[in-house]
Formats: sequence, structure tokens, C-alpha cells
Amino acid sequence: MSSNLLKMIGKRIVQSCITIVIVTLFVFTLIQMVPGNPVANYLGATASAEQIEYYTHLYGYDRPVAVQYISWITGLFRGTMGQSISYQSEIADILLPRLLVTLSMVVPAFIIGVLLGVFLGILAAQKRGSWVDSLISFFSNIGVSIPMFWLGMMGMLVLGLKLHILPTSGYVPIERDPGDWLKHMIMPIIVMSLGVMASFMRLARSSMLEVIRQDYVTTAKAKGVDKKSVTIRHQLRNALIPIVTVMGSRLGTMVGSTVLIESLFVIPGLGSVMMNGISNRDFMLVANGVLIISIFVAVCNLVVDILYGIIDPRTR
Amino acid sequence: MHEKLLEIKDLSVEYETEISTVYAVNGLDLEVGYGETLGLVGETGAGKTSTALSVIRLLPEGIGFVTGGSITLDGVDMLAASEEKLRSMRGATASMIFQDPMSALNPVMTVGAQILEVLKIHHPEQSKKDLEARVDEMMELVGIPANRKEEYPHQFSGGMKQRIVIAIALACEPKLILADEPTTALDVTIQAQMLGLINDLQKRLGTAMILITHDLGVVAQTCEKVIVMYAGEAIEYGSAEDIFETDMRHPYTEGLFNAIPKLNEESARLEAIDGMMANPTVKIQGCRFADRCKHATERCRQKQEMREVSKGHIIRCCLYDRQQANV
Repeated sequence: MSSNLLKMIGKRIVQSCITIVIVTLFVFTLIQMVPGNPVANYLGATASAEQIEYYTHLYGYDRPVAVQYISWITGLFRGTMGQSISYQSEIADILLPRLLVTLSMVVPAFIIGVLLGVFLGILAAQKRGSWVDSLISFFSNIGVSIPMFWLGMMGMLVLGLKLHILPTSGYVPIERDPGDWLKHMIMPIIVMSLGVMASFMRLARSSMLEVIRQDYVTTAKAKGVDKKSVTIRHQLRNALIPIVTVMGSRLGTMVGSTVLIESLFVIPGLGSVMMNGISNRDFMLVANGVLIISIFVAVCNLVVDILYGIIDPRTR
Repeated sequence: MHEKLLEIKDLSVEYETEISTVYAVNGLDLEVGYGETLGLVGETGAGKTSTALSVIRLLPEGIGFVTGGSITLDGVDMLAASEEKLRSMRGATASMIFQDPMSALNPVMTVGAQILEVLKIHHPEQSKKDLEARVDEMMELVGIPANRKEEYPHQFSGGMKQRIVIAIALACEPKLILADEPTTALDVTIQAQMLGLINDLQKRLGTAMILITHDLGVVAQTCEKVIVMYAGEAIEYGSAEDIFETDMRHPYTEGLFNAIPKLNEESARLEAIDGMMANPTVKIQGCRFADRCKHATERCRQKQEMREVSKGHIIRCCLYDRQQANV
């Protein structure tokens, strides 16, 4: 069993590496085709042609794309992501702290959203047809269809401007003032978690209802298993299979799609730095950002695959 | 000690669906003695499974309801019993073997764990080691090597899964087994094996059984007593001999017999019973089979009483009034 699992993990890691190489190759090539020059952008309108040529050569942007790509990849193995021209510093120093900011927002939002969503979904399925079910289903439908940024703006308006409970936007590093950090993070986390919660509520409800009808649930009841154990041991474990699948891809896409929330709440995360990178044509920055996100997605998928093997013996 | 293990009197079961009310069982009487085997025969929708599920109070929650009558199992009034009492009886006093072994086992639990579960619930006082030993014993008893208990249901064939289901049902040595078409989903060779196994274990453990089936051959092989159900009603009671070796049968039972292919008779077509089962959403006063019955008369529109045509052989049909008078 476990050797199978190890073999599967090894296979998935190799697959993920191939995917990551293809994704980075794609992004690295495509972004160079976009009109605009990072050097001209950095130097501004007053720069002379000689200056531009000098800096282009300094950063190695005059080399062929393939050579640049290879030197980037070999650089990664030497422990450097390269220089960002727009930030004038080592890219890892820009991206990694911002990745932490993004993760400190996404991970709690994801955990809260999934836990609450699955819990409420199970509750709705248990009380199907009752007012509890109707209420939960009603709010999950609203939650799925409301755009996150609108919810964020309403939150800023009501909680920030009218009630003055929370700051409207901005970010305070956790090491400077944890309390203040939390105050600034609450709203974005809640806004992000609501969307996650709504979709997991629906998913959990439908997959629970799917298993409630299964014969093995009746078998369990006929054995004299009490209601709580029937729900947890027999229904939930089977209902978790589709939920775990969606969990992996959801967390992956959440990291990639924080741009809106980060720019709305003015949070210096990975999404907003990527936005800057694109508008400044700083393709080295963008390529490294994409690399980080695709590694994150690959790790999420790997974790899902491992969880899958644990939950569903048929996939082993 | 009650002399009867199970007594069902005037049982009515209804299903509330969004569109209508389905009258699944209408005034059924039934008795099973200790160690006795009763065959419950009828076509799909006759109310056989509803009857069995009512006994252990497992009708689909919020949809199926017992609306009348009484069920006494091993001296306990099942309709008045608390949920806790019911739980303590399910799997221990009465257990169920389901129709489809493919879906009756939890796919994410090892078969050993599924057998262990029922033992743990009803014998919490025993040590884990003793219970595990009992799991091994049960697996060997149904003919599966105990070293396969760490495997999952998908690693077993249909017949082997049904053996596991039987092991679960018998693990706590229940007084009554409710076997709901235990062989329908299996191929013919395995069917015979399963029936042999169930019968053998039943005799060895002294367990009573209600065998639900639409297969008269199965009934003839295994049951002492038979009840034929039609549209939620018992239309014929008797011993297996009463029903198999007699000319006096309910016209519906007669129809069931005629629908069995006979090799020694030359016949171009199999004789089927014309028409469909009575609409279960309508309450019918008279005989429910009248619309499909070739003997039907005006008298069939009145409420039909049970008539004893010979000792212990009871038929719900007015056809036998005249015959009885003639005798």
C-alpha cells in the first residue's frame, strides 16, 4: 500500500515539474512578445538611446530569449531569481515576503471558508427540506453569485466608513503590530472566505445528499450505528472525496486570483506586485511570480492526491 | 417469553411524496415463530421491503411512515420503542441482508472494520482482541479467509461481498434475519450457494428469517411458511405445502405459478398476468387484483375478507366462498 503511495507521489512530482517548466517557458516567451520595453519604462521618457542600449545590455535583455530563459533557470539552481529592473533589487527579496502576505490572507480565508462551508453544507443536507436548509441554500446561492470586490466595497463602506469598526484598507506588517495587522486583515479574509464558504456549502450539501441515499448508509443504520457515527463514519468520509478534489484546485486558484482583493484593500501581496510587474513590462518579475504560483498549485494538487489515496481506497 | 418472535398486526405504511401519498402496506398481519422461516412473495412494489424496513423502523426518514397497526419483536413494541432501544435491537435482535451487495458495503471501510463495527456496538464489554477473533470467525464461517479482512469491498466479487453482508448480519447472532431479496443481484450459481449458506447458518444458529423474494423457486427451497403479497396486502397465507401442492390458490398466486416457464409443456408463449399493479396512490375498497383477474365479478368490488380454505391456508378471495359452501 504505502510503496504504491510513494510511487504515486514520485510520479506526481515528476509530472508537476514538467508542468511547471512548460508554464514558465510559455509565460517567459509570451511576455517578451508584448510590446513595450522594461528598460525604457524604467528610465522614463527622457532617456537617450545610448542609455537604453547600455541598460538593455547590462540586464542581458539583448540576448536571445532561449539564452535568457536558460540563464534564468540555471540562476534558480544557484539560488537567485534574477534582478528586477523596476524594483532595482533581487526578485526573491520582493516576491517571497509578498507571497507570505498573500498566504497569510488566503490560507485563513480558505480554512475558514472550507470548514464553515462543509459544516453548513452537512447541516443543510441533514435537515433537507426544512427552513434551515432553505436558509443555508439561499445564502450560498447569493454567496456564489455576488462578486468578491463588490462585497469588499460594501464592507469598506459599512464597517469602515459608517461604523468605523475596521480600517477601510491598507496593510501593517505583523512584526510591527500584530493587533493592527489583524484589524487590517479581517475584512479581506472574511470577503475571500465568503465566496469559498458559499461554494463549499453547495458542494458539501449535494455530496452529502448523494451519499445519504446510498445503501451502505441503510446498512450502517441496520447495524445499530448511532446517528452521529452514521454521519461521520459512513456519510462524511464518502462525501469528502469530491470535496477534497475541489479543495486543491480552489486553494491554487485563490493564490493566483488575489489581485482584485489586494488592489481593493491596498495589500502588498503577490497579486498586486504581479500587476506592477506587468504594467512595467518587468518580465523577469512576472515570470518568477508565475513560477511561484505554479509551484504552489502543484503542491496543492500533490497534497490532494495524497489525501485522496488516504480517503478513497479505490484510488490506491 | 412470548411464543412468537415477531407479530405484526394490521400494519399500514405510507410514503409521503411531494405529489401524492403512496399506500405501500395496507393492513398486513404477519407472525414469525422462533427459528421459523417465512417467505414473503410478491412482485416489485407489493410492499415487501416496506414491511421489512418497518420491523426495524428504518423506513426512509421523513418520507415513509407507519400509519397504523402494531409490530412486536421479541416482546418489544417496536412502534413505541425509543430510538436508543431500537438501536440496541438493530443488528442484535434483528438484522437485515440487503438486495444489492455491490452498494450495501461502505467503499471506504475495510470489510473487517465493517463486521467489527456491529460487534463493537452490541458487545462494548468485550476486548478488542476478542472482537477481532470473532470477526475472523465470522469471515471463515461465510467462507472467506480471515486474512482478507484488511481489504476493501471493491477488492471482492459480488458473491463475496454478499458473504460479507451475511457475516455482518449474523455477527451478533440475531433472533431474526430480514433477507430482502438476498440473491436477486447475483448470478444463478452464486444464488444457490448463498441460499445454501444462509439456510445452513440459520439452522446452526437457530435464527428465524423473513425471506423476501419474487422467486417462487427460492421459497419452495427454503421456507416453511409463505405469505403472498399484492399491492400492499397479504392475499394468501399458508405453509409451503399449502401453496405449492394444492389447486386452491389466490388467482394472483396462480398467475405467478403460470408465469414460471415449464419445460415439460409445449407452449409458445409464457403466460403473463395481464395489466399493471393497482395504483398505490389510491385507496381501494375491494380486491386489489380484481382489475387483472379473469375470475372477477361484482362481488370483488366489496371489501374482501380472509377465508380459511384448509387448516392454516388462508386466501383473501371471494372465489372460495362458493367452494367452501360446496364442500
